Amino acid sequence: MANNALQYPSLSVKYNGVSTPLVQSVTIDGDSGLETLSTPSGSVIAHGPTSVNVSVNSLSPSIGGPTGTYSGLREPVDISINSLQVSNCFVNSIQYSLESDGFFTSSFSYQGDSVSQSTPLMDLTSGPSEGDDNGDGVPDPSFPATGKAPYRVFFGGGSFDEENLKSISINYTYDRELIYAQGEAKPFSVLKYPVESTISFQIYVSYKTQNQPNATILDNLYTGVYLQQLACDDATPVESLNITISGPAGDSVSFGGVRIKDMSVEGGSVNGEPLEYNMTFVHYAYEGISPRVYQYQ
Amino acid sequence: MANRVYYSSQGVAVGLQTGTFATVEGGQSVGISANFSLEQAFQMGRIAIYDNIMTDGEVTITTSKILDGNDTIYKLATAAAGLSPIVNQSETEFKVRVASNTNEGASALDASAQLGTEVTGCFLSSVSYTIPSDGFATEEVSFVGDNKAVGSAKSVSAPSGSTTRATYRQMFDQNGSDLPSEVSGLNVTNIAISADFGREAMFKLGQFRPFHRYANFPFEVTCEFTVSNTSTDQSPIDLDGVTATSDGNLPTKQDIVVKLTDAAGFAGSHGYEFHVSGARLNTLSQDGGDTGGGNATTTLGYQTFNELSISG
Repeated sequence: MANNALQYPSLSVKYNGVSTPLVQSVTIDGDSGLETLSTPSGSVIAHGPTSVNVSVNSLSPSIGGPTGTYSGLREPVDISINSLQVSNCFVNSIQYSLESDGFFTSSFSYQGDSVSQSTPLMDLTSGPSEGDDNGDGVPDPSFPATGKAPYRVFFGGGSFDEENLKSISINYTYDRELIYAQGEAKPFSVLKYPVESTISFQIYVSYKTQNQPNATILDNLYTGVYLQQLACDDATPVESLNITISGPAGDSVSFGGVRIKDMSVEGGSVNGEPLEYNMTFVHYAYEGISPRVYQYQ
Repeated sequence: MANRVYYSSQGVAVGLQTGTFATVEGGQSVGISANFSLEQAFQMGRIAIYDNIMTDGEVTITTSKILDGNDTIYKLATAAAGLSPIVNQSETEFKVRVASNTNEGASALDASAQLGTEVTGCFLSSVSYTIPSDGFATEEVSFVGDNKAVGSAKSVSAPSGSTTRATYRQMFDQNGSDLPSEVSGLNVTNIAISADFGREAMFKLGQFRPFHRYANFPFEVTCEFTVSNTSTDQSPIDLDGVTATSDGNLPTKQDIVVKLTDAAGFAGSHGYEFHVSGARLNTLSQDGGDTGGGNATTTLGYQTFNELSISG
């Protein structure tokens, strides 16, 4: 029997059976939830609730979701890698990373409750496939034609488009509580509120003309004023700021009512690296799924 | 149309980004290189490459001249008067043109019939000076930039046909220079001074071109002396002599001045000065004197950071 290595061309990731492109890596981490109990007559080992964590890392042509079906937020989704399937997955966290020196990426983390495998992951008699994940010789139509990988020039701007933005990181955290009921092995999960989302900016500090319209926090670092509102409306209080990020595909994400969470200044040491300013804004949602995440079309 | 480009048919001009071009007198060579960084994207489920993008492009122009009594390339570009610390140019933007005649038979550059290349918004990348005992003293300067434009409008005026005198070994001003104590009084056969800014590109979201190429402080400045040995190495090293209050006989930190006089009697000819401050001996090597018949020489290398000033 050939000892073939299973490599990325032969692996496809699907959400509820629909392929998703631009995946760079997937990790699966399962815990069978073993519980032990010592009794006078011997030890008992039982399977408790299982949890399977899945992380899907992709190039991100938008900041509104993965290409294809966006699932796992309100309803559970099955995630499969070839014939290996993780069931009942809910999104734990979503992260978008927009770097000025690297591809735009997304990372979706899920928690499912079981993993199964129906057939061998790859037929050992065949070679790497060109997107033909079910082995019938027909490329999966959900795989996109060769396109452009998202890079810094794709960034559309937004509230900070006048700054020398080094990177932007957008994080959504969806903590869930597992609720168990008598007579049911599997729990059901509910979303815990508040849902926290953060948007972080890394900015190269440079000389700025003071008192510019829409002056940023960065300007006021020099003048000694700690905070300055970012939105166009002067009446907007500093405790509730509005930030808009325009993504690569003409999509956009609006963060309304965010507050500054933390800030730091790093670099500028005798090692010669430039001075960088880091700001993180946070939003808490107490109902629904907020801020809205646009579905990539 | 010219069938070739050779020394008589091409020339280099430099200047501040906001200033005018000045033709390099005594130019010896020019090189233009463009480099593109590529990054590939692949995806699970497909063996075909998804994308192969260009992440950065940079153009480097390196030009050299003999120190012929006319302004150095550094001075032509920076328009700096007197002794100019090169750190003052860490943020300065320049423009560089290289052009060649379309008529190969012309005896000199003809700005009315040329095709040229112009790099704007470029930064000083490196400077180096070589002062040999057997040959002309030379300068080599490199610029790094982003955008390169071409065409017949990118012309370079002909150099003047200088009345000055090329710098040769007799113009090294031993008395006016301040050589390191390890070199003083020896038969110096070669001096090499160099500095490299180590430029790094800075990128921002929403723009492909780097918004700046910063000088990677601290950047190294080296000054190297080659001397013809009259004896074996006589530089003692006693590490045991180093105490909390004394470096013993280890080489000390020194300010080095290398001065080249002007060529008296040659109109317009001026001298040159190079100041390397806070330098310390970091390499010493003796070579030669073997059965091949050559003479033994010793090379002493001095190192400092950021501290190089140029006059001329």
